[in-house]
Amino acid sequence: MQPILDVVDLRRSFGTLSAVDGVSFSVTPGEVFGLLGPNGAGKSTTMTMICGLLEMDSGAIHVDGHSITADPIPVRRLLGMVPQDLAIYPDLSAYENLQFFGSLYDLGGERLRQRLQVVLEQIGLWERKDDAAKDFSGGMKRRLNFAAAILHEPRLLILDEPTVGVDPQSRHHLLECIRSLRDEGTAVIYASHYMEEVEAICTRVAVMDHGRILACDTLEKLMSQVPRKVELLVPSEFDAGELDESEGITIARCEDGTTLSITERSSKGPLMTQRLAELMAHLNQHQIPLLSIRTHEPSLERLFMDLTGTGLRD
Amino acid sequence: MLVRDRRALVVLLALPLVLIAAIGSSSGRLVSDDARSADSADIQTEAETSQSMPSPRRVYRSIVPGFVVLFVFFMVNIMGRSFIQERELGTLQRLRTTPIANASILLGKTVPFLVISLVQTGLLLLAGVFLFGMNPGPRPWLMVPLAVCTSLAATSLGLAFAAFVKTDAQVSAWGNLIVLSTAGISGCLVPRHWMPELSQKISLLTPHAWALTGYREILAAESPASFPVMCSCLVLLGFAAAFMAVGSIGSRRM
Repeated sequence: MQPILDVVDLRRSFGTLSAVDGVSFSVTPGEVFGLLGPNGAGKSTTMTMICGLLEMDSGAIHVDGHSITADPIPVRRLLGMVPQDLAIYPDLSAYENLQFFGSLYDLGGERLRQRLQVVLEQIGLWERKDDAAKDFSGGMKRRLNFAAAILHEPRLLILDEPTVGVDPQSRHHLLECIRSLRDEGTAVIYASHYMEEVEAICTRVAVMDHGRILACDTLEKLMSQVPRKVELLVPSEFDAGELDESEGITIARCEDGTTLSITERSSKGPLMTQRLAELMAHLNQHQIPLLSIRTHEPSLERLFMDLTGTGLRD
Repeated sequence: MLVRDRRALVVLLALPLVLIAAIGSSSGRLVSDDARSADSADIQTEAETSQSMPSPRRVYRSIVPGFVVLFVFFMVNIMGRSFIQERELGTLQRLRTTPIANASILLGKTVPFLVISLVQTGLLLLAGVFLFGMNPGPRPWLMVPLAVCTSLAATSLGLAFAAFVKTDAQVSAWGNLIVLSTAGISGCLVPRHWMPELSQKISLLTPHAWALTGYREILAAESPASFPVMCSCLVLLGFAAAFMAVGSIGSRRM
């Protein structure tokens, strides 16, 4: 399928800081593309450049074949942006806010009225449409913020941490809306720090840090890179040296002296199952009690921490 | 937003009226004395009008335009604050992601202030005539293009200013400095013909001085000529174009 968004070798510096350093990716219609990274990784700068709000130093961005630099107006018609912070007029009602933003996309008359009703119902604010936005709860404001970006039916929706500070119900509602848009063929770029959200809705994910993409693939393929790990609690007198390490498996005794950590470096083949079975048989044969067992499933958070480290970011 | 901002309405309308009334009533003698020593054309006008117009009414002919121009340029502060508010709300960024050209966004933000400025000028001049008895002169319609050009220059300066300020504190500090210092230099507070020759020349670097020159021609001359008023208008349009260019360039950083 032809990509709706093509980003090629994007670069942007602020003084000596290279905020985005050679980023390339593409997004196809009906795809939710996750953009992960610690604070300052370059996600927001990348998205700001895709929206045309920030000039790039070099590289190219094409939306449906239109260059963001040479042809910005047609690109903006295809884009919907949900910024990290709210971007609505607090003194206007939900209806007036959307009516105003809709009119900027040449929506008018019956078509605008129709879209206003559809979108306000979609985000669950139809009953409160005449209330001023300033009287809404945080979650309602977030939903209105989201609605302003989808009113004109964009083909590419850019979401920069849209669920920050919202209650679980509003978050669930927003994620459902995104799924529904994805099913209708809208391409979505989704930046978030909530790994479970990204796992729940994204088809492909890029992990960014220091302005570069460290990994970019489907969730399934990314997860397969995360080692599976099982920890067994055994008496300290048990000699792990008796057990051979086979290719792809590491058996190590942890510092506490009683925990055996079995790590499978690759998910290819039934190595973990075999080694666990052998270990169990060994424990059984020597009547060594197994005190407890703990599994560490591959997760996006583990991949993220493996790739970006555990050091604090500003 | 501006309509709901009562402070702005006070600054734009109530404050100038109070100041005109207060200063006009207390400085009537000074202005009339000065008018007698002004250029010959003026002396003639004064002599003629003084027979039919009591002295306090002549005072307002100088004070009203001065305060009108001063308070029209207060729009600079209000525009700066409005742009900062729009930026803080995040709506300016959202507007810039829509298929609206940057120039249209700036125009859309500026035109309402231009309209407000024109209404403000109209109301203050009408108040000058009907409340304070200012004689509008034989050709008052000449004030229309002059008011439009003055408001254009003021709102364009507001746009240029808004493109560079980042906080409310900057608006208060820089805005008041710009508004009050230019008003002082230009002759809004002290009639230009009272100022030393060098100061009068320096004052021509401000749009205010050109606006005041135009108003003086319309209100003080026995038979106001269109040419000097149109010259003032042209210079004011030049100021407006320059400020708009600066604002347009600066707005890319917004």
